[in-house]
Amino acid sequence: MTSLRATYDAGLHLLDRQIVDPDDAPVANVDDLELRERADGRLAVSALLTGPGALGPRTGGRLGSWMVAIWRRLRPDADPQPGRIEARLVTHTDSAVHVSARARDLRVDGFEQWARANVIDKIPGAGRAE
Amino acid sequence: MPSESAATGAVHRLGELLGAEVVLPDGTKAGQVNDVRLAGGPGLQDYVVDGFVVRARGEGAFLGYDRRAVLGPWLLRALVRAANRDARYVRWRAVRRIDWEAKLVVVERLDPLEDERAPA
Repeated sequence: MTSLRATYDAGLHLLDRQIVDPDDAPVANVDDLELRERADGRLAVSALLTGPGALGPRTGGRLGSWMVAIWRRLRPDADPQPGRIEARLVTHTDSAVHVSARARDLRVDGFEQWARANVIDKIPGAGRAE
Repeated sequence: MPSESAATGAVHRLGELLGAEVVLPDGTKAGQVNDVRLAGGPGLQDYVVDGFVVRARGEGAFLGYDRRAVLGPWLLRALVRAANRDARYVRWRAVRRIDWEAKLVVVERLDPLEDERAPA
């Protein structure tokens, strides 16, 4: 197991990495990082952000705008927010970012759950899908 | 306080910094933020922005081969590093101001790009 590095070039070592839970189950990708201003003015890492609501703004341009617009349109909540995983849950990094909470408890796949309940499950024959 | 947002606890995204224009106090353009180096620990929540990797507009990251701690074919590393010999690093203490709206970072000076530190 590799622990945390002394330094991270965030774009190189963290962005777009797979997040995995203690059972090595995939959770999501690191689509952006949330930075919070501390009292001393330094910017500290506060969370990993996931999903189109994080990737779209980072991608920018027309593609990024479309990504966010479609994601907002398909989300049931009025003001959808990207998936958010507290930075304190990160245990170590290697080629992936490992977190201490299980995927089902992190609830960052809200869009997937909504799409499964409202779209996939309504397709005839979906009940037999694996 | 390098940020224009005076309120402590303001929340930003890393993506807002990537690609930001880097300028010297006299307005001279120095390049764009190509990556953000984090340092600290022990937990990821204790890491803070240590500085910015700055490159001339349009240059890519070359999969990290331009940063010396990254292992790779020596010929590829040599070629990429030669092409990026003007890459620079801005330490946090040299950051004078961040204008998040304009995606602009005003810096006092730029230093040579340093090696990343080895894993703890």
